[in-house]
Amino acid sequence: MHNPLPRLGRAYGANPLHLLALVACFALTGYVATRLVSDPLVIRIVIWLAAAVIGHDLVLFPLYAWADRSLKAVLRILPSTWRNQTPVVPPLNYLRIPALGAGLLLLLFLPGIIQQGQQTYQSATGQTQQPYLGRWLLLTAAMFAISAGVYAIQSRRAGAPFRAVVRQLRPLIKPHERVITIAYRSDQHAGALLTTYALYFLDDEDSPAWRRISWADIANIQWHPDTDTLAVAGLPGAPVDHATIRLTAPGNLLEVGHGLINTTRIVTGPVDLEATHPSPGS
Amino acid sequence: MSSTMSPPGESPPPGPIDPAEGVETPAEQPSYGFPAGLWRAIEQHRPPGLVGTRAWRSPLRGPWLTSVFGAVLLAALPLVILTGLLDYIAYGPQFGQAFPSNVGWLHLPIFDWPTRPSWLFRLTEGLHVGLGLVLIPVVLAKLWSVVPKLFSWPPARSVAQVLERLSLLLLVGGILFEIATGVLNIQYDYIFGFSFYTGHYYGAMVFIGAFVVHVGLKLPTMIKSLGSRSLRTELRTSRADTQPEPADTGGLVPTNPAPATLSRRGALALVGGGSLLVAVLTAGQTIGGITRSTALLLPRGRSYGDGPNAFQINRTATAAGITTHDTGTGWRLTVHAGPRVIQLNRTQLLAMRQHTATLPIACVEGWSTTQTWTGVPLRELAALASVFDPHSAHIRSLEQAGAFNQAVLQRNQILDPDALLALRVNGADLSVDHGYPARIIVPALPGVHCTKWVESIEFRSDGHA
Repeated sequence: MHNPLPRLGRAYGANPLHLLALVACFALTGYVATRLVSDPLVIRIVIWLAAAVIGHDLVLFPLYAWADRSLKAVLRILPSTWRNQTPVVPPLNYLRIPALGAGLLLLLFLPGIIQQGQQTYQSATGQTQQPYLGRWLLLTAAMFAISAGVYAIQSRRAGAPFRAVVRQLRPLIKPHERVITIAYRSDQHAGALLTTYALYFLDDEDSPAWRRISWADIANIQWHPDTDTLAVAGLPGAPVDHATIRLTAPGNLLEVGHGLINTTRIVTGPVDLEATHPSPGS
Repeated sequence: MSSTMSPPGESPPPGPIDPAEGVETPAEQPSYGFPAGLWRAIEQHRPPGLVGTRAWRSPLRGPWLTSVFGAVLLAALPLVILTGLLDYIAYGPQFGQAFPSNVGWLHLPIFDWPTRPSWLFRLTEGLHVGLGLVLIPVVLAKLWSVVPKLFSWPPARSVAQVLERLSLLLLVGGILFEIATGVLNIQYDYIFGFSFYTGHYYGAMVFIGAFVVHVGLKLPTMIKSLGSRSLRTELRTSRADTQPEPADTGGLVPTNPAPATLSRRGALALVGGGSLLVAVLTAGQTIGGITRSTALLLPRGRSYGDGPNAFQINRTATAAGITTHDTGTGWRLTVHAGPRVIQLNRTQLLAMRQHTATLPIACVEGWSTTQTWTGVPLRELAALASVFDPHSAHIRSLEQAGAFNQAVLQRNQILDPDALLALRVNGADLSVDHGYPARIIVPALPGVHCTKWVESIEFRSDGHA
């Protein structure tokens, strides 16, 4: 005997039970429509049902997705000095979370905040909606303030090893130098520190000691991924001829370092990095 | 899904049948329903400007995360639905005073709403409104998690998918409509311009139908997806270690994921935190006491100052058009019982045996307040009119207009020893905003039926209903 169900199912696109369940669902909705059709205000109900979907899918969602993308874009183009402070706790979620909290409260309690329905509100409660805007603003302020507080604590905590290294090197670092970044070794200790004027590195050939080499004395720095080392080539006549620094990863050290070498060259005169001969100015 | 839903007792289908057939057909091996040419043509005519699949970049989206939100809603929404329907019954549909009153075949089973425990309506209404509000962040998160499907192309490859999409419109439209009308109603904002009761009731019916079907169709997928990852592991995974879920057939997992800016643990905490925030700002309106002031943004979190009558007012005397003339010394309570009519002034009522009860008054907006009421037990008023076995009592207010200027009480709501015609509250006379000269207070009765400024009570025995 031939069973037509599978062929029907395939033409329909799913199991027959699927069809039965959905027809039942639509029939119920149809019945509700017949109950409502005599209501003079039914059109408003239908409009509100449609507006609820459109309002969420085509207004609210695009709006918050766009706001989130804008926030990320703004954080990306922040002044580089903000970003070069290593290590940085990404601020994104510390802005997102209080903004979402404030947005959620605005969405739920909008009538009170914008004082909509004043008359019915007053008839029902004998009060006015006057306090809600202020309260919402205070709650928003509180959420952002708490987030800022947590961010400050997290940043401090994340920066603690950084500051410890800077403290240790303080006698070497000159007052006008600004620390830019630190790179670490596999034993979790700092292996290199970059300032606006010099590269500091832990030299452990004999006994571990921090050494300083000015960017003006460096011909080039190179990362060797096979040995996980940073090779520093000094200019002829510089106090440090060459150095090998063991690090887990160079991070932004190469990018920043090359930038500083070039800047120093521009200040002190042009140089051919490949040839590593002394520049006229140094 | 299709194989698990085969009608029971059916032999294995003859002929070739694609086990992946159904609504979740993988995009890479499309199979079309009838007429295939139409569906293929739709697929090939992608509207310009439609968001492409590569635009969805969140690495968190995937069947597991969607299923977690789905499971939370599946566990909690039935409670919101059930308490909402119970509240309809609490309004007394047998007397035509539950709105909308004539719902045809969509009427609920009718039973006498109990008077005990006295906090029953406070609980059901508080849960309905409170839990409903708390679930809003979860609903929004669930919708966020599936939003790529809304913009996916083609919208359907078979009639089955078209119908399922339509049912999703009812599902999403239904819940958003219920949320919108509910949220506006608890803030006394009637901008929608139709009867809240009518809209919310019928909206619920549409939503319930779509919800039941959605659960029926998706439950196997949800269970399977929940099992695909360990919640415990996810709760231990940091942002740095967060990877997208394995590619799925449903189009939720991004084909072009961005690095995670939030772990799944963080996403769950964010949604949970949103719910917690709403809970903290809502619970006070139901719990009352010192927690009331935490309902900072709700009408019923506000203080009315100090004093025996300083508690939440529902409909002021001014709004109800009650004048001092109505409530002055000329006021009489008229008690009808069949042909018998008794008139009592306030002094006579105060001379009767007074009973004191501490009872909550709870309203449809989810708020409640518990006060100590003193007055004449309704059953003693009935006995005074020689009605010893009342079937119902029809209470009328001095208020001329207004949907709640009268109410019918059931037998148990008259005979409960704490059911009162209250004259005093917290040791003082009722204020005019709280119903002076006399108001009804009955355990577990919806607040709007605790009629204020009572003008008359008509006790009806069986046969007079």
